[in-house]
Amino acid sequence: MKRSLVLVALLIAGCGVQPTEPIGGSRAKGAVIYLVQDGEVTPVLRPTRHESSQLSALELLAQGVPPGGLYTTEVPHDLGPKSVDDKTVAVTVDVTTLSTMAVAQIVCTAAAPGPVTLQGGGQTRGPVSCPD
Amino acid sequence: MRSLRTRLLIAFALLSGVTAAAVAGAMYGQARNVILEKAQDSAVRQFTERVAAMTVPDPGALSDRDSFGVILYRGRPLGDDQRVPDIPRELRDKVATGVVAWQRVVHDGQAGLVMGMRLSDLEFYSGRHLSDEQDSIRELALLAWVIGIGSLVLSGFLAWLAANSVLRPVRDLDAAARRLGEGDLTTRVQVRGGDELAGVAQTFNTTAAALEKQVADARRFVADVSHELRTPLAAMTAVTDVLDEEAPHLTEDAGKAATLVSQETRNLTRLVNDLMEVSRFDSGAATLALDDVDVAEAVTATLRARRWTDVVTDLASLTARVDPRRLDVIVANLVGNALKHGAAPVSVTLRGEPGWVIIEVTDHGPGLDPQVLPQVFDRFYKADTARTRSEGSGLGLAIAWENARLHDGTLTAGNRPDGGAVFTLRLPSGGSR
Amino acid sequence: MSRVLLIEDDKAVREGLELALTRQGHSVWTAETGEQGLGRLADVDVVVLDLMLPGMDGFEVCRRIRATGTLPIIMLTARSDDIDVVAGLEAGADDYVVKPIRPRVLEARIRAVLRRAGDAGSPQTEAEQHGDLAIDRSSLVVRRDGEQVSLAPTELRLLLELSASPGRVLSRQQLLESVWEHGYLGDSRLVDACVQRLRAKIETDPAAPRYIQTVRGFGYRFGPL
Repeated sequence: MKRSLVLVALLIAGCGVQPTEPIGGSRAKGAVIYLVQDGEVTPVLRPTRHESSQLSALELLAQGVPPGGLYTTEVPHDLGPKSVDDKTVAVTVDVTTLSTMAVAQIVCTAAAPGPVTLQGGGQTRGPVSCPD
Repeated sequence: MRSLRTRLLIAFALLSGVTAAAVAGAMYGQARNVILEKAQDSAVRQFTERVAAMTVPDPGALSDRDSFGVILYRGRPLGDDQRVPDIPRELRDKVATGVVAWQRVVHDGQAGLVMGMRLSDLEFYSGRHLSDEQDSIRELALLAWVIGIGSLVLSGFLAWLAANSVLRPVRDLDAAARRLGEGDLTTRVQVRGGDELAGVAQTFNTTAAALEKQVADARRFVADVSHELRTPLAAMTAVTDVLDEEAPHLTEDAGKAATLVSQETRNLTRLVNDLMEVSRFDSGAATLALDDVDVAEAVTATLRARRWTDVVTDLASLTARVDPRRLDVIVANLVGNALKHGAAPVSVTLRGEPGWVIIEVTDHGPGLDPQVLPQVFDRFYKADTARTRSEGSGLGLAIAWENARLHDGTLTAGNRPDGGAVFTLRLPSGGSR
Repeated sequence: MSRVLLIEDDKAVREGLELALTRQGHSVWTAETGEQGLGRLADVDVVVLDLMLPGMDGFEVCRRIRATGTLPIIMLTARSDDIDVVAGLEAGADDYVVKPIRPRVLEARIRAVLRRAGDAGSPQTEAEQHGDLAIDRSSLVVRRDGEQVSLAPTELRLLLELSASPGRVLSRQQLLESVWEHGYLGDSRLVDACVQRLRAKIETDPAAPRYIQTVRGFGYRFGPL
């Protein structure tokens, strides 16, 4: 008797649309790079075929933008990002040659939780934070 | 104890109920999931496509008529509306792992889907209502209930039919067995089909037929014997008067012998006549010859013919449609019995009730032992077991009872409160029904 | 006394009844079969006839006696099976007794049927006229359209009884007592069978009787015409 009551309760409760736990699907694709608009760094989305890492985002950043667009970039093509972690961004190019705007672009695109030190060309720069 | 029918019905109802619930429930659940998954998948695909198509993070690009979009940049919403919308904490946690995640939520009975993904510092969320799907599912649920309950009702009806088809033979058998027990040996049941019940019915019929034949044989034997005894008895009876008349002129011994033979011939004649009468009742040959009879006159005539002058009568003037010969037999047997076994005065009262005439014969003897009351109308029943042979045939009361029954009336025996037996005859005044 | 013809196949019954009836003063002739009995009808007052006879049965004998005359007939039947009694009464018997019968009872019945045949009604000079029916109570002659009707003694007695008070209803039990002299409640089929035979003889249409009318629930009535 008890069991059939539970069954009936389940049946009635099972009706309609029930809330769920969060369900995860595929990894999110796309990358966020920071370009310059009106003298400020601003996030811009770039589609990717695969899940992107911070390193690949920096590579996307180094590819630059097509001329005549809304956005400009001060990051040189030969940036050559090598590695990214929470504290440092290693690149090929001499970091002292980078403009302040380019440094901001790189630091923001690297999306580290705190200030980041840039290393490259035997030089270091920073630590620098991404401006709000 | 629950009846076979109830048990069958419950079993059927349970079986069909469970089946209906399982089928309807499973189909409903399956359909519901398909609808929801389809809606979710398409919403999630649209969401990711919109994010992929986006260059500048724009919440407006995630919104349309059915959905809204929110983009959080480092935990704060982009755009003019700085309020952080109500996004489930666990969904944000899931999104933080880097997967595209979605969650179904229900607020005030309204279902919705919230989807989210994170790219770097940006979190994209979109929500849409699921009211169309909810409506579809509600209809689906209604349909499932209708089908479930409908099939339950239908199966209940089928179960009822099935139970009846099983139980009708059982019921028939029960009724037939009862009728057989009550003495209707012609009872047979209809044999339907070839199942086990039909086998039982067949056996019942065979048994009843065998029983009927045995009883009929026994009865025929009694009738035949009685009949065969009649012719010699007719010859003997013819000369009893001669014996009676000659007895005083014979020697003492011869006279005694002649009187004895004469007396016993008469007794034997009476017994054989009563046996023949009983045989006619048993064979169903007894029929009523109804006539409109002045009952008081008939009772008086019965008493006068037997020269029972000291019987007290209290007779209402009544006319009834009865068989006068059988009425005479009943009254004569009852009064004769009272005179023989009870004590004087014997009284006969006649009164009427709507539709009935009631004749009571009472005596002032010791009355009947309550234990023997049920047997007084049995054949050859003798209340006084010490007496080896009754003065009558031992069939008088049985014949009276059969005659009452033939009229669709009743004859009952009892005791008066102040002692003395009372026999009550009730006959329908309008003839047998 | 009277002359009785006893037709009975069983020797013991025949001899017993012959003995008893002879002692009561009757002259008794006996016959073993119906054929034998039919040959001895001359100078007989009453026939006592067993129904179950070898060869020609009692019903046939009864019919033959009725075809030629009005001799009273009392049936002796070993079986009071209803159908036998009815068939015997329809064949024309005036009364019946069931074996075993005490000679005293048989004697009473014989006297009754003979009295019926002999002394019915009171002396009257003229025949009563009821429609086409003329009933002469002194000569015991009934004529229909001037033609004499041959009636068995019971039939005559019944007609006289009913016509004595035209329009008055007599119950079957009353008729049994007055016509058949049955001391107590008798078999009303005797009356019904006799009425049937009587109607067949005096009514133009026995199915719609004028003279002997049935009063349902009560009995019979002569007329009113």
